[in-house]
Parts: sequence; C-alpha cells; structure tokens
Amino acid sequence: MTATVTLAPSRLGRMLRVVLDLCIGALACTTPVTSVLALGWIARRMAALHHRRARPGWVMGPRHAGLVVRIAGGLGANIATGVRMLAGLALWTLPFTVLWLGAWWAGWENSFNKGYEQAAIGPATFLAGMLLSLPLLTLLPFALAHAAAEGRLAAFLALPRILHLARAAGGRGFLLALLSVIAAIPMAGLVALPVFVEGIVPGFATLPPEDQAGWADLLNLSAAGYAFAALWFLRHRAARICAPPRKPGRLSALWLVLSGVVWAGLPALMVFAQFMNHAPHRWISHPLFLLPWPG
Amino acid sequence: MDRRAFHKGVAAAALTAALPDPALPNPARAGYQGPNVILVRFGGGVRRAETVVADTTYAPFLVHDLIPRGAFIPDLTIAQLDGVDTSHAEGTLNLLTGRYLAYRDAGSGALSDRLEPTEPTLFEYLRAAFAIPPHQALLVNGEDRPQEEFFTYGTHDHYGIAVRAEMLSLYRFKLYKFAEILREGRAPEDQLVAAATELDRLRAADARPMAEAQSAEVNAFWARWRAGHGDDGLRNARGDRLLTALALQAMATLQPRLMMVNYQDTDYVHWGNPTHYTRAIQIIDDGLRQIVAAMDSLPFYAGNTVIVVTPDCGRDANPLMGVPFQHHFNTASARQVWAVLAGPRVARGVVMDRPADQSAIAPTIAALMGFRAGQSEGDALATVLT
Repeated sequence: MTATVTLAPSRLGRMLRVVLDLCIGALACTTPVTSVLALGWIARRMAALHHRRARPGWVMGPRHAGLVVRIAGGLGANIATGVRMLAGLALWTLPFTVLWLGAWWAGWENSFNKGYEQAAIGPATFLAGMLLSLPLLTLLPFALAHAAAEGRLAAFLALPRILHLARAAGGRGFLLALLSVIAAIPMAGLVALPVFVEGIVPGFATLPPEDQAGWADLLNLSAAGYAFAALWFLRHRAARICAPPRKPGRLSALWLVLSGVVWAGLPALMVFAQFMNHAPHRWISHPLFLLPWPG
Repeated sequence: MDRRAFHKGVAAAALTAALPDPALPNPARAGYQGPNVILVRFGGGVRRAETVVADTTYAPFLVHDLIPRGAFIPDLTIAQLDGVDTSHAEGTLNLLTGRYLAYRDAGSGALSDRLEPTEPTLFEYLRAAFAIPPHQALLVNGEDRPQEEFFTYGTHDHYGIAVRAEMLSLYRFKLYKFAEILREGRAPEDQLVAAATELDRLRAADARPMAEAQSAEVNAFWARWRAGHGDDGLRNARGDRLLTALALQAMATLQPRLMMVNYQDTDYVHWGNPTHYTRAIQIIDDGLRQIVAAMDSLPFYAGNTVIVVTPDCGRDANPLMGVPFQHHFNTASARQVWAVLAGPRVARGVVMDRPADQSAIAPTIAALMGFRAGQSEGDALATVLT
C-alpha cells in the first residue's frame, strides 16, 4: 500500500507559476502558428476550471502517464485542443470577418475608382457583417467555454446550450462583454503604435535594419504578452461564469441585448486600428475572437 | 545659421531686388507675356522611391521624359518645425505661399482639416503685379478634398479676394449647375427643390465672410462642360483623371497664365491597398504626359510655359508597418520630397546636388514669372534658373 501526499504549492510558487505561464504564453502568441498552442492551453485551463482539475502543462503530460505522454503529452494536448478551438472559433467568426475583409477591400477599391453607381456596396456589406457579428460575439465566450468544457468541436454547434449559458450569465455576461471591449482598446493602441515610432524612438529612421527589427520584435512581444494576459483573464472569467450551471434570470434577454450593443465597440476599434496601420489579416483574426496572436 | 536666417541670404536679395514692393500690389502692370507656369501637385503625398527613383518608379514619363527636359531637385525637404504637419493642405499652402504655417484654422472638423492662407498665395501675387483676369489664375481641385476649395485667396490685408484665383472642380461645377437648373426652371418641382437644397448646402460649405463668385469666363467653361457631360456626374472622367481633363480643357479655353493642378489620389493608400498608391502615381504620370503634350502643342503655351512638378508631402517608410505609407506624423520620409522644373528660363538637364527647402518653390515660380513673393521665407532656386 502506498500513500499519496499532495503538497500544496506555496504562494511564491503559485506566483512563479503564473509568471512562467505568462512568459510562455506571450512567446507562443508572437506568431500565428504557435499561438494555436496558447489557444489550446487557455481552453484546457478553462476546462480544468470547469471540471476542477489541475492546471494543464505547456509541454509535459500527467505524472502518472506513460513516458511519451509524460514528456510531451501537454504539448500534444495543447496543439490538439488549439486546433479544435481554432476550427470552432473560425466557424463562428468567419461569416462576419470575411464580410468585413471583403467590404473594406471592395469598398475602397470602388471608392478609388469613383464608382458612384456602386458606392453603397462597401458600407452596406460592412454593416451587414457588423450586424451579424453582434449576436455571434455576444455568444462567443459562452460557446468557447462550453466547447472547452466538453472538449469536442461539435460543442460549438450546441446553440440551445450556448444560448442558455449566455442567458444564465445575466449581468455577469454583460460585464464580461464590457471588459472584453475595454481589453481591446490597448490591443488597438498597440496596432497603431508603430505609426508613431519615430516620435517614440529618437533617430529610429536612421537606425540599422537589425536595430529597427529589434524594436519590431519588442513591440510584437509586448502586444503578444498583453493579448495573452488579457485573454487568460477574460476566458478564466467566462469559465467561472459558466460553472456551475445556473438558470436564466428575468432580465436575461435585456442583458444579452446590452451585451450586443457593447460588443459593437470591437469592430469600431478594429476600424480605428485598420485606419492607423492596415493589415488584411487583422479583419479575420483578432485575439478576442480567433487566434490570440495580435497580428 | 538656422534655416530661416539662411533663407534671408544674398542670393534671394540679388534675384528679387528689381521686383516691385509686395506691400504695394497695385497698380498691376498690363500685358503679361509669360512665361506661363503650370504647377502640378504630385499628391497627395508620395515617396521618392515610387516616383523619382529610376529603378523603382511608377512614373515613367516623369523620370524618363520630363526630368531630362529640365532641372531636377532630388533633395527637397519640408522643414522640421514645431506645428508643421506633413500633410496635403499644409504642403499645398507651403507651395503656394512660400512659408510654413502660413494658414489658420477655418473650421476644421474632427476628421477633416480646413485651413485658409494667412499670407498671399502665388495667384494673389501674380494678379497684384500684373493685370491678369482671375480665370487665368487657376486652381484645379479634386472632389475628395473640398477643404482645398478655399485656397483661392488668403486673409492678408493687402491681397485677398480682389486678386483671387478661380477654381475648377466638381464642387464649383455643382454650384454652377444647380444655379442654372433653378434659373432655367424647366425641371420637375421635386428636382427644383432638391437643386435648391443642394445649392444651399454647397454655399454653406464656404464659411468665409466674402464668398467668391465665378467669373463669366468660368461660367462659360462650365456651360461647355455641362453641354458635354450632362448633369448626372456619371459621364465625366473620375478621380485624378478628372483633374487632367479639367486642366486640359482649361488650357484650351481659359488659357491660364498660372495654374495649379492638385492631384490627390495617392492618398488612398491610407486605407490599406498599396496598389491604390502605385496606380494613382501612374494616373498622375499619365496626366503629366497629357499636360506636357498640351503645353508643347497649344500655341498659347508652346515655348512659353514652365511646368513645375512637386509633391505636397512625402510618405512614411516605416519598416514596422505592413503598409508603410502614412504621412501625418512628421517622419523623416514624410518630409522628403522633390521637384522638377522644365521650360524656358529653367536649366536643362541639371540635377541640383544640394538640399533645398519646400519654401523655395513659391519664390522660384515668382522669379520665373517676374514678380516677388515678398512674404515667402524661402529663396528662389537660382541654380536651376537661367
């Protein structure tokens, strides 16, 4: 007979663990490919909260597992979960992000060519994407929380369950939407920041290319670190809201509508960021709704 | 010696000493014989790389045909001064007045600047010095920058509306068109009401205390334009091609002595499609080709016209951005512009081997045309003049 002794980590140990997770997550979020790993880790973290399991590892698997899983099981699980979450999130968001991308490109293309006859198409398409985005963005945190807890892609399609979770969240769901849009403000600011680099870094224009690249790397890492930290907080909060299950309150519909109104702030921030520093992929992916890569 | 002190140098004094006192604009001298000057704003905002650098240019006519015909100033810069913005209205007024910050806010909105010149523009100097009618001092403006409709005269005490320029633009055409529709009274009632409403809206856009009326010659120009293109606005050239069409028709009919063509569509790159920038450069380059062809073939202009081509501002070269073509933030690249001058009294095949300042363009044009831009800060570019 063997006795299992669980040693509770000290406060310092927990803090170091958080710092280490933040560092790894920030590094993972610096590229679109590795950010899948961060997405998977965050989803597994949400599942761990839901099921009251131990926090997931970045690379190593459970201690009681076989050698291969023990060495790299965490990495494999993060990748598999990340890919699954990415597919589910893309399913939810591509219908409106593709409209945004197309509206922006075609609208300005038409404007450049002074196509007065089709002038309404760009704005109308963007507006259609925006109207479609509001209910989807409102439900998205709950869809992700549900899919993370279930651990399967099909959970993204369980609309009645997702709607139930969103309605049950009530005012806390509204607060989550508000916090999400507030968290997106620095993200937009960090996208715009390179525009001002010559005012921030004296002599930037005359620096050697490798030094300029160094500043670019620093900016990318900062944006990735912020995106990861913000997402960790927001997804943790979403998981907390969804567990344990509750019944919807009387004002649940009102809270959902208000959440949708608040979520309109996100495309507004994205438009601002695109005006400042345009990149087509930033219409498709934003840390709040697809990859945690800030782009 | 700072830049301003440098610009008060001996060369400027020698070049302009024989010219009339700018504080005394009247009486204007009759019988101006030229040269005519066509000032082309290669805008809104371009970098040297995509315009005047031979290996990377999108403006083949400019580089391979026009530059060899005249003088090229590859290192023209916008001074880095407090409050100087590297943007279109500001750069245009720098070119027209020969001064920095020679403008004031005239009701700018949240997303659009609205400036008016506080020092005389080249048009005012010219018409004060010579008895030239307003339609021969012309600005040709695009439809996307209505805030530049009001550069036809400034607020300087000794100049102003009496020696203003005329403007050709869709804004002005609409002023004419709606007034005509109302005067004719033949349209259905709802269209007359709409025309009246639109006319009021257009007039309200000019907040200045003295609104300028379009001259009889310009009204005749618009009558011909309307006869050719109708009222719906769907049959005329669009974008910067429209500016070329207006400029060419003006050269053929109004015969401006001084004309500024404010190209602008390179600015579309703000919204993210880099091809808008390079395509706009190509369109401007083709416009240049047509204007120079008209200069060479029309008797009024042939052999007696100088073309001056220069951007209002540069654009960024920011390696941290996917589309590094902004220009609002006074970056080094946004202050780097260039100029090309070609025609009589301009050295041919000369490349200026030292830096020059954007404020030098106005006094150089003034020197070419024989008047003095007395309020300008810059020196005329004596080395490119013969």
